[in-house]
Amino acid sequence: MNTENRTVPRSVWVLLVAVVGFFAALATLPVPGDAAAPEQEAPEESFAIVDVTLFDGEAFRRNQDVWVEDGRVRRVGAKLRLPEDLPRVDGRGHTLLPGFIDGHVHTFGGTLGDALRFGVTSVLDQFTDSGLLAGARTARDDIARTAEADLFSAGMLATAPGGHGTQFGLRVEPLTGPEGAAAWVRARKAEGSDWIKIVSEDGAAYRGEIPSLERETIAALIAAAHAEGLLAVVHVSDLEAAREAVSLGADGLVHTWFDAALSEEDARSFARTGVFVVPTLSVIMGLFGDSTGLRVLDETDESLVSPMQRQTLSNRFEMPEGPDSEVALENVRRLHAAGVRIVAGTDAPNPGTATGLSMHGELRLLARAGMESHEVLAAATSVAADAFAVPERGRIAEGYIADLVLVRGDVEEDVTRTADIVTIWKDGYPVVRETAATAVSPEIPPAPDGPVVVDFEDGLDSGFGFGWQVTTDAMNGGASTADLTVEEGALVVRGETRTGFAFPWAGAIWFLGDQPMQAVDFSGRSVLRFRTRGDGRSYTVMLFGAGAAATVPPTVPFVAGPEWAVVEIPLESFATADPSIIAALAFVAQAPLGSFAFELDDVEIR
Amino acid sequence: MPEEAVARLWGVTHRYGPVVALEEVDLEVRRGEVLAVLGPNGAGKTTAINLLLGSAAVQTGEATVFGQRPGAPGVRARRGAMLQISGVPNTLTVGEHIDLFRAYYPAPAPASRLLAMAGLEGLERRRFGKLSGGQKQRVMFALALCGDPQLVFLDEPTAGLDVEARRGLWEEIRALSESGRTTVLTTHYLEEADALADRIVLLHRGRVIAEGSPATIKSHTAARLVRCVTGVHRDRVASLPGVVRSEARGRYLEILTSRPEDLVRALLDLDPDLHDLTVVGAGLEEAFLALTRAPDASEPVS
Amino acid sequence: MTTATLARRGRIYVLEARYQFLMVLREPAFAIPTLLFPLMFYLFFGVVMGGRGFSAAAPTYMLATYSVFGVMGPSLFGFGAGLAMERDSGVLLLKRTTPMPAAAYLLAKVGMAFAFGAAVVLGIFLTGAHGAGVVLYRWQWFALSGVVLAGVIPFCALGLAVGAWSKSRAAVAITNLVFLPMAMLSGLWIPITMFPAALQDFANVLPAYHHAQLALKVIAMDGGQATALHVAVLAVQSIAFLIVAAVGFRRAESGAVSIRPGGMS
Repeated sequence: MNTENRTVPRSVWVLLVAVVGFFAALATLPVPGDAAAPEQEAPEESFAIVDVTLFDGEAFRRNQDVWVEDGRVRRVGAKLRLPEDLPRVDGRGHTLLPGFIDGHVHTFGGTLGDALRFGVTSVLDQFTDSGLLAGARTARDDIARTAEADLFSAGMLATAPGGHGTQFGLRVEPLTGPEGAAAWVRARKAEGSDWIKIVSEDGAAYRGEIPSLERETIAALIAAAHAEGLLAVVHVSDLEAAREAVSLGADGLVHTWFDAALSEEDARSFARTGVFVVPTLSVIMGLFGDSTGLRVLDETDESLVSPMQRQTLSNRFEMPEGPDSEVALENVRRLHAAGVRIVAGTDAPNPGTATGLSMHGELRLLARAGMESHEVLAAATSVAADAFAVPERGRIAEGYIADLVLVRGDVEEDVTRTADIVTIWKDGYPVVRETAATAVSPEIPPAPDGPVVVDFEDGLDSGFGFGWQVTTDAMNGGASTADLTVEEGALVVRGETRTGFAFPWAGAIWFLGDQPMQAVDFSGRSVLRFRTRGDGRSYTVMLFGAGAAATVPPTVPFVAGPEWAVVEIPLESFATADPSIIAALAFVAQAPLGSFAFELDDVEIR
Repeated sequence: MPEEAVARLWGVTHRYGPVVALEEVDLEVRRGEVLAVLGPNGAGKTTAINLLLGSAAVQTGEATVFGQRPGAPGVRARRGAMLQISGVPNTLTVGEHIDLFRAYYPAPAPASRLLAMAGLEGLERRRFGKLSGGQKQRVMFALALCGDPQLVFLDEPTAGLDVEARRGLWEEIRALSESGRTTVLTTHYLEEADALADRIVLLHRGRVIAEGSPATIKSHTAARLVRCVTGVHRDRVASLPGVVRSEARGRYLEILTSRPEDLVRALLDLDPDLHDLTVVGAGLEEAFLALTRAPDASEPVS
Repeated sequence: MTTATLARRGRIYVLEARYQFLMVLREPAFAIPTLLFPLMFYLFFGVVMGGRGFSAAAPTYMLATYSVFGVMGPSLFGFGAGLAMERDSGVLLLKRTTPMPAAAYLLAKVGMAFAFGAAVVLGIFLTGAHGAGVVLYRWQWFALSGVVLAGVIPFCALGLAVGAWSKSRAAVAITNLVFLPMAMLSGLWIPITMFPAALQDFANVLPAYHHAQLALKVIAMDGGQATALHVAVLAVQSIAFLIVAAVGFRRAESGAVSIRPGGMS
């Protein structure tokens, strides 16, 4: 037994393997973070985000656990003892932020949804239809699944007859002097305004001249608001108006100004009054063609951007030459340096901005104005909530509503990362970010009354909708071909189905909307009817509804024999199809592979 | 001669509490010899071995092995021992036990040679607990030789074995001495000592009562015990033929002699009334026992 | 010392540990109870009954306490009783006539206790994690295994003390008398908080109680006493056990009475 040279290494190996195996086995044991990677389906209502870098509204804290219960934050801390069955999100490598609060928006259409889909869980509206206010209060007090941000609003704004704010077509009751101020403020309070917004705008900064409220009226409004226990914030766009508003006791200014930089002395005196400023750099920089929102848009997945967001971002204010965007930034820098509270706000969806999306641009602009990451984020969370006395929001702390934004990476290091959102929770429920899924069914135009008939007498131009096109499996990587011609007043479809795609097809598609795959409402119609003849093989009609790409279209077969024959297919034969949403009908050859030819005529939906 | 002594005890007295195990013992183990320490149970054999193994500390006197303290590391490496123990762990195999003990020594004997020397070929994969008594003793014997020792202590190597197993182990021990190793074995069988040893030390009640070649010892133990009831006085008996020792025991007189026929003749001449005569000691064992037990034998020897 | 000598000495330690491990592994009377009993107890009390009897936290609590229980077994029986048996059989005496370093023998026994303890701990951890849904932070899994396995040291010292003073057969019985009541009274089977106050106070003298408290501290389920207190008690008790063991061995050796079965001869 010559084991001297073998036994020792073998025993040592066995020992090493055992030790490594022991630790490896320990490493496989379940840990809280294993429950779910953040990219997996987000838990709702009651869950925990563990081992995350937390911005609690004021400061960054590393390796924190956040326990959400019934839509509110139950506990925050390092290594919390969490119930075993509590769903967990692994927060490592991520930053958790309070839902953002946009300090200056205007609400209409789908803006509350747009805001929420970009992590803005509450908006501070500075002028909207006062009819929205009652509903907004109910909605925001309800801790439940929602697709919209919470709305806090000034409601109607206070302006002079013909002054700024009257040009939008919203109901405005202008003030002509200080005597009506008290009654006006009481009326707003009764409507549900959360604070009073006053316009001090003579157009000077825009090289124009428009009527504006008198100093006395502004003073009276501020006094009346305070008497009613409401904050009074003032729209300004020049330094003079800003000084005046602050001197009259305004609680906040909801724009910065760009006609002139304020002196450091002015900044200090502003700071002493405790006034806050919502600079709305997004809209102001947009005036100068410098839209950070567009930059955010470039980084954002297209499926997340609504048509309205895209449109408002691409809109432009007409801006005369002269003022300098740097002045606006410098004002913010000086205000911040002097200790004036800065609240992040975008003034979306004004031209050059998009609700929600522009908030991420605003954060970058505030950083450009010299604010640290935690100051920028506080401006968009806790400072905004405190300035406008918005309760239970703007922080991640015990008892606060679980409005949370989970972002990839370390936001303290790089504030531009806020846009790289993994999950948004509103009231503890994950927010669906894709526009397609959240959009309430888009406006679907109704089909004209009576049957829609295509007789091909005028060639391929069907006379209805976008018309007829070739469709083949080439879009799925297949090799089938088709060709459309009109001969003797009938559509002739010739082609060949070839191997290439798993389920080859080729034929003709009739787009019923003005654009390809745009749906048309055929409610009340029940039958697809057409005449056909052909080579005797079997063909298929496919019916495409909205969002066609996502679902398998329902199909009904038909045979094209040598003689012209009428085919009638009840629409209800198309399983899962909804007559109120029909985007296209395709007439195609499928298996068996080979060349085919058939004709269609007098295609009608009745 | 001192330089010849591989191990020695010098003036050693050892006590366990009130019990004296060894008393003024001088013992020398010479290079290359097989020394048998012979004696009945309780004679102090194992104590002597334990002192030479360093397993017990010397109380009075001196013990050296290879000129060093018996427990010195250099000594341990050159010495092997087979102790009176119930065995090594049952769940390890013969080969594993040998592998482990070989690892203790700087220059171990090849495992194959150990298996051959102990007659354990083919058993290396068997667990110790599955072995017969003789096989177990052979394993203990092999373990004593793992370090390829120059000096081997075998404490009662054949204790508890049947005749066949005992003879088998003798063969291994003889082969051991033929390979030039110095061997010390303890036994209470004179036959075993006679069969294996070059020299015998006879130990009784902690004292060395005889020492010499097996022939010498045998001549001592060739004596017969003559017992009778007689009027001849004990002092007179001492001068009679071949008398080693005599003792009055009850109404009997017991006389140890190397010349029983002459003694009996002389006794009968002196005392015609002599009666109840017995002469004991047909075999070596009996004579040896008589010799060592005589002073305190409490029952008649028959 | 040359590297060859060092390698040879190292080989003694490795082989001694290896055969020590193989020896007990092949002994069903040892291996099965020490490996399976804690696991079965945990499975029954912690996993099956755990959720109902006490609270949802039971599987996690008992994960720690049954791991402590699992480490006690091989330390007390393998080390203490095992040593007593080998001493009585004479193997120890025989080995001491060889050049084997005494440390190799002791370390091999400690290593065996570690290995068995680690196997039990791993088994309980896997059972808890996959059978009862116990979830801990990764640092807790590692720290808990470390704290629990460190218990080998005081329990081996206790085993050594018992083994030094008792004969082999008695050693197993005495060890059982120490093992089971101590496990029970230290709150390893059911939480200590369910005991009457007097028993809870009594637990303070038991090493297993302090060790279990240290393990529970890792998962923040301990009774709130200071870590330093538990460590200090365990350290003092370990040293005391070693002293008791040393005295016992010295007594046995000087008398040479219980060194070997033959008694004096």
